[in-house]
Amino acid sequence: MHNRPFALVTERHGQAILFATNAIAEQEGLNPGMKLADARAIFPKLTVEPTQIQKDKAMLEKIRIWCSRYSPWTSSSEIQDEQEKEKKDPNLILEGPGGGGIWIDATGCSHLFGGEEIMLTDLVNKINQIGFVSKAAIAETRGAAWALARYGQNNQKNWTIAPLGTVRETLAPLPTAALRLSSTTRLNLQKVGLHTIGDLLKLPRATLSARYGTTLLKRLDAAIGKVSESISAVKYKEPLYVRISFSEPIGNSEDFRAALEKMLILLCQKMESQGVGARRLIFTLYRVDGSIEQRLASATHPIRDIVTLKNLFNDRINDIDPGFGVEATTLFAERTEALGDTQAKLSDDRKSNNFELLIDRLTNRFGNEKILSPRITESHIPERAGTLSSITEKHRNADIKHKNIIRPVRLLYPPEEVETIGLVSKLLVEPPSVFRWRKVVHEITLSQGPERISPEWWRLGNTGTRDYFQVEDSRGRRLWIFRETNQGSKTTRWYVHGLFP
Amino acid sequence: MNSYVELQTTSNFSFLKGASYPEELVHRAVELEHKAIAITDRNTLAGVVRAHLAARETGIKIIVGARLDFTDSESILCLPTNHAAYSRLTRLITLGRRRAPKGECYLSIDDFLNAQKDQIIVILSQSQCDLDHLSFTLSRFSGVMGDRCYLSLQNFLEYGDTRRIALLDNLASKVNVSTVVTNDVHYHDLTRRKLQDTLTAIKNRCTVDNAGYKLFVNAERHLKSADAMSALFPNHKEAISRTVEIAERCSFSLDQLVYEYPDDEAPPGTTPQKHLTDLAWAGAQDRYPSGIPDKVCLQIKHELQLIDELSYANYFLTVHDIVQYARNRGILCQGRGSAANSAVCYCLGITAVDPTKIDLLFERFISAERGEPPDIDVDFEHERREEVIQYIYKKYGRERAGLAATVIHYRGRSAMREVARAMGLSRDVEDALSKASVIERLSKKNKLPLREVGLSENDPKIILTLQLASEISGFPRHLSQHVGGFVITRGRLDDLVPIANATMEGRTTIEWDKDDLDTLGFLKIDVLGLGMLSCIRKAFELLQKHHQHEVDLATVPAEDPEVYKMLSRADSVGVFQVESRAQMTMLPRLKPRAFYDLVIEVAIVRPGPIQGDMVHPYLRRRNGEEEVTFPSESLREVLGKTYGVPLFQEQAMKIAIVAAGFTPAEADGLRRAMATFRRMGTIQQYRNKMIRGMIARGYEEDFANRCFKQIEGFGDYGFPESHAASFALLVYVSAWLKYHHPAIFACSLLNSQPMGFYAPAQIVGDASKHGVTIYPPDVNYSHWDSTIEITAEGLDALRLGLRQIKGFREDFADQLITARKMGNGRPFFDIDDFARRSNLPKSVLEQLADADAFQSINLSRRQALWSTQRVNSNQAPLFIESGEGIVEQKLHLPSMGLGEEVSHDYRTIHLSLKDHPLSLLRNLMTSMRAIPAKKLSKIENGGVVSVSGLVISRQRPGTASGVIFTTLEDETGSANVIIWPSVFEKYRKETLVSKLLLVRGELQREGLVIHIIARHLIDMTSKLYELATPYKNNTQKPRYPSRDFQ
Repeated sequence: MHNRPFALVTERHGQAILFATNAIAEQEGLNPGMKLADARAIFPKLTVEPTQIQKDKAMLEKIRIWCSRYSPWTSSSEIQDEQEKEKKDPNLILEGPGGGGIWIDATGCSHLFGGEEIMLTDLVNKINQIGFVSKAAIAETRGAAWALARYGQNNQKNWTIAPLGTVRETLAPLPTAALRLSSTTRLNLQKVGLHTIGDLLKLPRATLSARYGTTLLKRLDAAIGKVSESISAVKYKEPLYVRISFSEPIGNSEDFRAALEKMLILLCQKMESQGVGARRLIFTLYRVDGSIEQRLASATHPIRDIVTLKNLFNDRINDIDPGFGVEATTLFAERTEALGDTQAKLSDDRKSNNFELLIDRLTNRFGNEKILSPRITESHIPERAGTLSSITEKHRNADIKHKNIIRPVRLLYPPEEVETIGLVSKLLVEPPSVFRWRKVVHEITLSQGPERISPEWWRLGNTGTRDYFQVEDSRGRRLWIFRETNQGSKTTRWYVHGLFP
Repeated sequence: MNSYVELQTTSNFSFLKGASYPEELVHRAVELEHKAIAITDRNTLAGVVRAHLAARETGIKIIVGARLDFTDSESILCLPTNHAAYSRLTRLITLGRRRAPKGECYLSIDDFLNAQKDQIIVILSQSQCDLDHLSFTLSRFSGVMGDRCYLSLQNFLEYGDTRRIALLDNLASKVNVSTVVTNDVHYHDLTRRKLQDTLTAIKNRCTVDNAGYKLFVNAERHLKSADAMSALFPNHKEAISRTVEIAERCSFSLDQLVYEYPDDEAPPGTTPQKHLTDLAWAGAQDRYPSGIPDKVCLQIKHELQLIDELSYANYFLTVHDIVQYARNRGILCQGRGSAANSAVCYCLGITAVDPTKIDLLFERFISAERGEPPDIDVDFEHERREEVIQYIYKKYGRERAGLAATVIHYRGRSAMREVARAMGLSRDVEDALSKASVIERLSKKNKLPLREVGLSENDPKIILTLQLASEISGFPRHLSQHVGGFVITRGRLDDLVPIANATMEGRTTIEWDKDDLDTLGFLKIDVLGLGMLSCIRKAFELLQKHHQHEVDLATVPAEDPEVYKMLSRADSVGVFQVESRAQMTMLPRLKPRAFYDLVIEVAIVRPGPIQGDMVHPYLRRRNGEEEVTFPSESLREVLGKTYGVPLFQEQAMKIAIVAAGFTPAEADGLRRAMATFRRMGTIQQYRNKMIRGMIARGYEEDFANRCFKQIEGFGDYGFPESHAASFALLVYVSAWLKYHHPAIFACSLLNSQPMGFYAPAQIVGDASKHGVTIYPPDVNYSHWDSTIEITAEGLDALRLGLRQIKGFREDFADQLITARKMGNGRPFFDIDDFARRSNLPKSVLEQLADADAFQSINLSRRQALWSTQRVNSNQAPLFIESGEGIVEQKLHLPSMGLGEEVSHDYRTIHLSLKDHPLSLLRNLMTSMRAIPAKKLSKIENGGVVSVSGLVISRQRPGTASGVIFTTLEDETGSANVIIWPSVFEKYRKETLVSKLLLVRGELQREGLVIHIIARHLIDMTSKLYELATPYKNNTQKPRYPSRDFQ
């Protein structure tokens, strides 16, 4: 993707527009904000992918967490997608790709890394190594650092440091956009000829607030350090993980159960404080010889009930091989989902969700893919009309109405060809009077049909047109047979496709 | 022998349901030797005329009917047995359509029962219906209609059909209703099943694979032979033969519809002909106050006689009434079309083209032989056409007047996209397939360029998509309203055809388009909108106001040699029709000297003559470079006026008649075959006939081919002499205004925008070049519209109106002007004064300041903005009252350079009176060796030059096979650049996005016309931005290294 124009595409007012472009695309004259149709007119072979703003955000968050190696106080500035921009107050919108960034409050931290310069070099290099181009700045205010990182004259190393006490002078030549101003405000400033932060600093403050409201002054003051602006660092979330070590190795399943229960009590408390329930738990046992044994349990819905969670493991504790003994156990809620607080009922009535619990227990025992449920598929072709799929999978066609028609109880797959005996009318659609199937001769006494089903022509290797008959033979066996006519080869063949009771 | 008639058919006029054209159903029924076929589309009669026309050629009987889907019951087929019943059906559908939004039809059983007389109905049962409810419905219908009510039996070989037939048969005999077999036909041939499934998927916005039960189980819903139908119903012979009985009982045919002209005009006690004669002679007196010339007198008599013979008087009177209405309301209008340029129409004021100046034979256009109605289109001022339309609705009522429909068809691109989506192809493949190159070659059945767009030629899904897309293209997609074709009737229109609501409020349309109307011989009057008429009317008003000079279209001084000289110089910016690039290059070659030259000028730059390669021969002959010869003596009469070269549509038709032996009806059929999209295979027949006919009569094959090519070109954009004559008058009048009153002309053009070829910047620039003083928009002087002010020297000057300010609203302009008037002419003296008196919102003040509209109170743009930005909140009782009245010190804002001023002018009013951006960049351009446009005329032919300028137009005409025409404008004039496809491929970006372009290329000169054939292009747009923001460090983009993706 480096060597050809590439762009991420998003939608604005129902039109596809470019959200971001790579360097080659930019050389071709493709810029963010351009309509995709226009971009394609200029460069027909442009490769595009949809913008996934949530993924970008998640990635930024990961980088932020990684950045906390430099200082515990970090936060990320937003990336906004089109929908969010529309919802937001237009005066607060930041235009352009200046949204995604990370603040690190490095006060008192830089010496740990050998000084500011070394720290910044290290930071930029490391992020480059992960595969991102980045720029960084250190300044005495948060606003100034934001401005310098984006609009500053960078040295070769892609970072800037504003010497202490020089913030006014450093910021003065930067454009007003560096103050995190809305595009409207920036345009208004530009119209009256105020282009730089320096231009603004020269003016009487009252004239500015009278025209552009208080946001501008606030941002200006914060940037030059007249008012302080702190980073609201993201709170560290405690992992849903508990561990117990044993002074003496344990070895029998009763002990494992006791350990599990003890850990579940702790884990459920933690989950309650975070308002979540477990969808997937990992129970790990550490043997004295260093090897481990794991048990996984998953649920179709979030659970925070100790007994229920314990039951999920119940059947699979006995077969744990303790080896020379287990010295520690851990329990980790790997997947969680939000679960509100619930009040325990007075009567211990859990019967209502018995079926779900049964499914959970069965799937935990045999595996998700082993417990299947039949689903309707909308297709006229009998063998495609129904499928079996894992019961835990949510089915998207859950609301399909079944066609009110009778089909055999047992469907043969694939249909089995029969040998017709005697004359079969080629013109009229009629079942053969006698045919041999599975070495047995069937004499037809009753028949009903035909029901004609045409192939799904858009599929590859599709079959011919089928005429189905429900027939009964002389011994009272009821079969579902069909004649297949292939248009291409002009052949007809007869098959048995199902059995009626 | 079995016989069977299909009564239940769904053609593709039941949009996205049926998968065959009505014509295909008819042709297939003929092949199957059916005696008749019913066309029963869903709540519509939109497809019946086509079926009727197809049947006319084959002799099969068409049963006109409709399937009615009710809101409260099972659907029925409604088959009118006679004319009266047909009218009840059309009124019924009108009722359902008029009460529903466009495209829908709401009907209940009660509605139908009011219209049931003489209808035969077939009640349709759903495949899984509630028998009790059906029984109730049956008795309800049969109770009223007795033996005109039938129940349909259908066997699609689906699950349970046999059983259902038995149940229905039982039920029918219980309630004493006869059964009849139908096959719910959705396509004429079973191979269309794929297409029908695809249409179903398109309709449901899903893929065929997801469509599931929405698709039919099998392909049985096609038209079947009598034997096949009998085999399906071995026990219901009588239900099969009843189809034939019903067909016999339905005696209505569309041929019984008689169109009658409205007769509202003739006052009691006189006949229409008498009334028309009176009006014509009275009009003639007015037109020729000094006596009617003998020639005209004879002509009028002759025409009136012809009109009498053909009883067209009411038609002329109807048009006259509409024109009269417009005239009384001061709406300028002008008729055109075959009958419009007659002496009678001149006398009636329908046209202003003096019949003495142009000799158009009346018979040529209305001939007894063809029995075709005369054709008059009337153009009205585009801004006021709606008034005329509403007048027609009001005068005749919704049930007597309606707009014709236009059938919107699937065309290459839309067909490809929708089919690709239904086939579940990815968006990228869809994009690649819908490329013009793929579609074009698909329609020409050439080898497909799939590889070029990165697709595999062997992918079965793609092959399938292409097949289906080519089948679907040409299918009707929906009905839209015709641009202005009105059908008005003497009796009720809704007795003839259903009327429905259009999307646009206040409009109603009928279900048939202009071809259908032609087929049935209905009269259509085209009420069209024309921007130039608005402009001319405004100019006439200004002339009256400022110069007390009263003129109208007919009294503008004729044949002014100076006007022709101006046009011959291609000095035609803003002039009607001849202002386009192509026309501008033609003008100096044609050098019009008289009115008829303008008629030719209008008609010659059209696809017809261009594709027929008639332009150059004409020019050569006109300039005496080639001998004027005629292919034959009989063609001398046809081609005499145009030096033996056919240019007009009438001539091409006449050639088919005179030289190829066509009957007039055949010639007309040929023209129509060309105009109508994909009329299966008929074009080739006509082509062979024409060329063979011409060769047989001794013409050269080459000439025959060219004539046919030309007719082909006329197909879509036919341009007859009769239309050209009316347009030519507007060309002359607008050119006259431009030459004699450039300020007034520019002013009217600006006030009629959007229209024409040029943007306000070019109109203003052109006026200024012709010596007009232009004043900027200003709060103290401007109105909403641009106005004429008189300079100290007594000359007209143009004051730009507030409408030139981008995004400014008319009601704010009104508010401003009211405030100005309230001040008794006291000008606004500062922003505070202005804000207080006008009470305009802050955002509007800023808009005005930004547009530099405070110049008369000595405020620069920045100072004005600085002051208005301070105005508090949205409403403005100002600082002084609001206690915030700290008087600010006058601040020294950085002053604006000329470049900045100019680019802000462009941003706010799309033009600048201060300077042209190019003159500010001239030094730079000179350093890049670009010369001013003015100097191009000094460069020799074939020389290589560079020019630069703002890109003011970019065109890729269909007739020019991918060549792009671009016009660049600099401070001295404009330059025409031609970019060949090979150069374009290299400079796509430069060609498509540049606002400022530098072009290097070869100069080509033909007479006065200069083109630059581009070789290299440089996008200089960034220089414009630099002008706008001279401040060097201010890139609006954060300076990142461009982000890259890994």
